[in-house]
Amino acid sequence: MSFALPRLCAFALAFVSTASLSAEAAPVNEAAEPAAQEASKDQRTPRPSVSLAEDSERADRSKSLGVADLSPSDDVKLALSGYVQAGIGFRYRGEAVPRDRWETAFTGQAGLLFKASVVEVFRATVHTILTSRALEAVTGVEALDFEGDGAIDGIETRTKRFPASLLERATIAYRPLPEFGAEAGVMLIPFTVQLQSPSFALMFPSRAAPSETFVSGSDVGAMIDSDVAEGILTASAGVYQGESLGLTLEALSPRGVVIAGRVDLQPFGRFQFGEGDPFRGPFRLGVGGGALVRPASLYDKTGYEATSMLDVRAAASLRLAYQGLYLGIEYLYRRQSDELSSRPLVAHGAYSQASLFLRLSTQVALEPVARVGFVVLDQAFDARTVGFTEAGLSLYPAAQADRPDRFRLTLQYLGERRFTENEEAHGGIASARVLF
Amino acid sequence: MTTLRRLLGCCLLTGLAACQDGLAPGELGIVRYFGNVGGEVPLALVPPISDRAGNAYVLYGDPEETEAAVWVGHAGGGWTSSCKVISGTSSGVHGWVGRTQDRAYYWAGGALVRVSGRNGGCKQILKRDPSSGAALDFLAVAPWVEETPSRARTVAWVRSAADVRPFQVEVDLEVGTYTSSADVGADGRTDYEVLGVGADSERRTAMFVFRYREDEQLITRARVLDMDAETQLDVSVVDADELAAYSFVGNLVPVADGRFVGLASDGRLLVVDSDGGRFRQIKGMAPAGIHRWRDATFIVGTKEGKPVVSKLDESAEQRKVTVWEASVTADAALQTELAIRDDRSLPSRSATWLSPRSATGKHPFVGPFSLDSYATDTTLWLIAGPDFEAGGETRTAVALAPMGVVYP
Repeated sequence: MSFALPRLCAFALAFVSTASLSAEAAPVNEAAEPAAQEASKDQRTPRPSVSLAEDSERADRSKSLGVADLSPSDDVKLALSGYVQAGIGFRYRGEAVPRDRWETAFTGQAGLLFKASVVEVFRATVHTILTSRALEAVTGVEALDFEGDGAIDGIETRTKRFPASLLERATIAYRPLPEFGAEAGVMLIPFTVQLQSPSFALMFPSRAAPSETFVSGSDVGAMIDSDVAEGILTASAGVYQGESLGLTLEALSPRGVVIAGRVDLQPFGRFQFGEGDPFRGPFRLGVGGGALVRPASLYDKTGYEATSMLDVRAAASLRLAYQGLYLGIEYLYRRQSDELSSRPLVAHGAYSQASLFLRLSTQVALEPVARVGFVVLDQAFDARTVGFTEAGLSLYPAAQADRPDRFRLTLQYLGERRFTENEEAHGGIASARVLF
Repeated sequence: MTTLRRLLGCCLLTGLAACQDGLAPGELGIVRYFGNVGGEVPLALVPPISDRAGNAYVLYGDPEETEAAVWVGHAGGGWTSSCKVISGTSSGVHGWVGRTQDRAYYWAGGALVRVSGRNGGCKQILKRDPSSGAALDFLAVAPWVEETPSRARTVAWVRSAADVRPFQVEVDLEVGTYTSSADVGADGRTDYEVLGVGADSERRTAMFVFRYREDEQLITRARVLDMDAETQLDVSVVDADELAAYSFVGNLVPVADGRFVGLASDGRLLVVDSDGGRFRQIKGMAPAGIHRWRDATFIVGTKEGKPVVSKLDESAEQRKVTVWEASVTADAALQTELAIRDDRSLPSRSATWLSPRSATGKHPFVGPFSLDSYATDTTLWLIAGPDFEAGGETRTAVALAPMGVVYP
């Protein structure tokens, strides 16, 4: 169906796109509150930290085979962590054809996070997501001639889903000073609040639909960042390839980079790593904004310039957290224009999400979560407004103080209301997630 | 360099809100030369439409011509012009039905045709009845496609050669089949003819004005259908006996509260509401069509050689006739040499036309069909270039351009 994109945006987060359902663990709490950081450090010690340098026998064998020696030395620290998530979800769309009216699906995926320190100031990070049904490949094509006149009346294709590994992050970081660093490789462009968090550290199993509409997936590039006065002021700026932005004129090849930046002011100190406030920290307030521009030349299939384009995106956010309560509001704007069409692609949207981490006992915690948002698409010519409502309850049955979110059970409702098209859908997910 | 200027001027210095989304009234965007059309100005071309992906579609043909041709202007440049599907000999091109993400649909003769914006290919929908295999004729098609995440559909009347009366059906445009059907009338009614069609995208309804014979009497009625092909209203239309089949100019368009208006070929205005259909005379102008633009309805036409517009209020009463300045400005913009982008084949080339003019009428925007809302205050229009003789026939070069438009 030609309306595939909105379809996917809607409830794909639940079951259609396994890449977006999912990964949300927080294996390494890098930037938690100071008190929480201490807890994290203590907790980090017994983690699977592997030095392969002692495997000298294997290293010798590599040399004898003439293979480059990739075995780490004694100085290398390699940390492995990850998460597994399994769940079941359903979706109901009353206006759909009978086949698509009710849909249920089991979901499952895992994430692996590798962190390696070669020398003090250099660190490599790899975050890969393993999923069973991420790639849909065409396995057969047949031309149809219903009238036997030699004219092709249609094409029948057969497709199959295959397991895949998605790379969310693969970077080399250089941090000579605590206040300054640089990073290069595969990463999310951190120009919104949500994109500053990896997918395993989100409050919900997926990013907010309005956020996904504006930037989706990882990109490739390099950035510098600074952290002044222990997180009171943070800023980043980078240059990226732009693959995560999407391109209106799909048939053309772009040549041009993305320049992105973001500034956050947090006068009461930095927020915890990821979303939510499971460590129940003191009061924090954050105001931030990000912008992204991509001037590019677009080349047609013959290799000549067809037109030039300018892609401008902006985000503004307000966050606060206090003793387990977390509230975030973010506004997003996009304008992609080219000189050929005289038709800019304009969209804007916003969402607000909140959670309250309640500790019922030393071992058990409960966290109600809610999120509402909207997005207005195709604003410049035939606007479509879509609203999103999500609400859920997470139970943490093993909420030890050092790592309260190690095991999470979540029940979640997802609602989508397409105001312009007068159609709505409802869904739910029950999922479990384990961090290791 | 231009991009950099835009970047600095538009977005960094003056802020995002100041970035203009459309063209100024009468201003031209890039003019794209797509092909040569048989005949001289005014050419038998339906005003172009666009899909959500930015592809533009040009349809050649009019109700009198039993031939059709489609050009697809791809969003990234280049044109495809292979589609010429039309069926039946009783009527010609009725016009565009609508568009979805990257497709457009037109109705020509008895054929409903899907055109792909991605590759320019086309396919006749429901050429044959899926059950009986009988050839189907589309007698009426609502000029609107309801596009939702679940489906793309419209409503229509279809008839096979064996049917006395047409069937009222909901057409699934993606699958290419109908999902509900009902006989349009009682036994004893014969000789069904459709006079005009319309659609109200806000109320999600369609309107068919039709005629049949019962007990030797000619009866004209107007029917409102929802998108499930259920009849919502069926009322009598008076004083329509003289009108021929498909005699409404362009489509019927909504005014307010479910009321529709249409321009008959004899220049009268048909107003249809729950009380029935009746005709009114249009005053102070020579009407050319009824347009729907941004929740308002206008009669467009000419007066003393100038393009004029008269707004219709909620009860379909005609307001003051005023000069359509956007059309005048667009006309003036064509009174000069025009830089053309010839991207019929890629890579594109530049050319200059010395005496461009509106391809489908004396004045830009003045025509039977509502204008396509291409971008904010911007539509698509066709511009004629030089004409020449080829094979004993006059052919005219035609280009498509975004044009800024506002209604008074």
